[in-house]
Amino acid sequence: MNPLYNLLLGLSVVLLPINLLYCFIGVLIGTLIGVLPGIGPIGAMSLLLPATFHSSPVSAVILLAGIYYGAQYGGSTTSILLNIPGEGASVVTCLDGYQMARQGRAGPALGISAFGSFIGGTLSVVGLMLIAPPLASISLKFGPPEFFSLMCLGLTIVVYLASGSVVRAFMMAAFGIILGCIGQDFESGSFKFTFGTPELVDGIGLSPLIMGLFGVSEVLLNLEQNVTNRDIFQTKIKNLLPNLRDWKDSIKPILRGSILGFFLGIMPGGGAVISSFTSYALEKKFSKHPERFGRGAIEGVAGPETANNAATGGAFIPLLTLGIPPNVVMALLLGALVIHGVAPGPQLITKHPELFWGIIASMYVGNIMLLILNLPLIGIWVQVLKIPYRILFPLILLFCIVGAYSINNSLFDVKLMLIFGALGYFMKKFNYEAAPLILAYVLGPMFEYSLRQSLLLSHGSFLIFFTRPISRGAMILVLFMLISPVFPIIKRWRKRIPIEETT
Amino acid sequence: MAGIFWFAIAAYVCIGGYKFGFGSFREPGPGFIFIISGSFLAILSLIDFCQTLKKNASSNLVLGLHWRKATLVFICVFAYSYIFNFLGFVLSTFLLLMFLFKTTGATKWWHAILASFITTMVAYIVFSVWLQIQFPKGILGA
Repeated sequence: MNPLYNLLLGLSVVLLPINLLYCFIGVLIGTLIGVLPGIGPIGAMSLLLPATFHSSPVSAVILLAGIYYGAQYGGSTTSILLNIPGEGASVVTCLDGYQMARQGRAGPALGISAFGSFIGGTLSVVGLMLIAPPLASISLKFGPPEFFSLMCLGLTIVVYLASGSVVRAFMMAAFGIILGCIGQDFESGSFKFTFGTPELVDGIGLSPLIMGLFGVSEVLLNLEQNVTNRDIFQTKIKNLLPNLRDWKDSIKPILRGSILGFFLGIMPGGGAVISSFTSYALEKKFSKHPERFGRGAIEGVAGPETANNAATGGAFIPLLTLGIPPNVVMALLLGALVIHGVAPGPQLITKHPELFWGIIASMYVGNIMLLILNLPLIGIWVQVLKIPYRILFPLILLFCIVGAYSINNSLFDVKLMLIFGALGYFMKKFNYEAAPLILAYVLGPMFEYSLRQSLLLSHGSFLIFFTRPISRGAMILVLFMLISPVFPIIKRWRKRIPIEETT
Repeated sequence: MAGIFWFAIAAYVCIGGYKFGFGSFREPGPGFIFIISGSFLAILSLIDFCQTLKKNASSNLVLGLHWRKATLVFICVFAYSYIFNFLGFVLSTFLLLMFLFKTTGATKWWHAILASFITTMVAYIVFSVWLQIQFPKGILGA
């Protein structure tokens, strides 16, 4: 089967009216979430997760993926017009986007950001389409030691790229594994930390955990900080279509951003935030006039906005081919697939081709929808920005409660969500990051299974992780990263890495 | 302080893991992963505790923040989960929203009542009628 045939298969899935509707709802909500302060794409995806239980797995993932890349688009609007990023990946867009708006060029800034996002998103989908199938066939040869080592590597990189203390990030990863392993044991059938509660037999639910850590805790923190209405920069948004000069300045940053974002997206721990910051630094370096950066250079908007969307496509590769999510958003998608009875991994492409290619095709369609949504509807998104937080927060809480309740029609999940909400609130106060916790929680059961199976295979010898080539390579990288903070150069470099999004 | 909290959690997990059965390295038992992860968490929490002491980073988390509002909202939502079955979705949600809209202090009572009523009705139509989520009817349905 060639890529074109596969793409047609995917298009036949996504062009079904129901899937088109899910895709549209996903990108619409995503853009809205990107625009609105106080709730990020992870919170929004977890809120919508229960609503997808009655749909098919492919519709569910189309909706959730739409929220993710839609939020990348929406976030740029607040960066350019307000100098406040809607979400982490748009932080760097503020630097030049807002300056462009102040110079009366908000239109081209928003326009190039939408076009750049579209081109980056589309090119990354092409990359995903070409790289994923061969990688999946290689990973079919992987056994428990390889999976364990790759998970260790993924977790270590996420911890390593955490914004705060590495020790605390590792603590959260360990706690995440503990939470992920609660429930019935896969081998003996015994119950682990279920406290006689039937709701815990299948483990702690993904939705209450994420909604608590990201939704409820965020609301509580925002209440403290007294989020008030922001003043929108008063400018008339005109000429959304960039002129020839703008295109000439932007085309190379867009192409570089697409490639950079795609490859950084594949890397564990890499994601939209790191891609956008790296692209900005790269463009400044490539520019003949670096002094223009920070004063309204269109390249400073085009590159990062392209890179953060391109990273979205790249991040799907480890999830769909290895079943290992490279970041929290992908961890949530993994959870969604598992809830729907689909195990992401090497066999996904052969067992569920309609799902795999349907998701890919939905990203093409979703990118077109976003382009249509963003350019003519910018006026509406600006109005949305004016909704006061005192109206938003009760609605966010209500969504969280109903979302948690609807999973099992049980108040236990609501209480669990509130407990995690309180935990997340204190974690944020004491600078403990939730991202390693979530990733480790999702990987937890697979982590335990592959570790125990590997030890059974090796009769208790940990050397099994160093005797197989792929596993050995991954473990050497893990060890290198573990000892690297000892070296001052690497320590300084790590401090310069931008904060990966957690909300 | 946070380090001690995590150490206590880690100790509890290790004890629990020991009860479930560590097994052996040749044949790991159900508690194996808990003892490994718990021990790891315990060691790191001690390091974290020592680092915090060394930095003397006892940041003041209370002053300058409206933490009372957050606590009040949290207690209110927790209470909601207890009255939910008794009062039913419509009535308990209406009361919760009215309280939340009013909590910010910037809304008049009749604004809060009207906003809560409209939101509850919309939520009921969307979640119960359209998405078919089974909510308790409570005293209104009795």
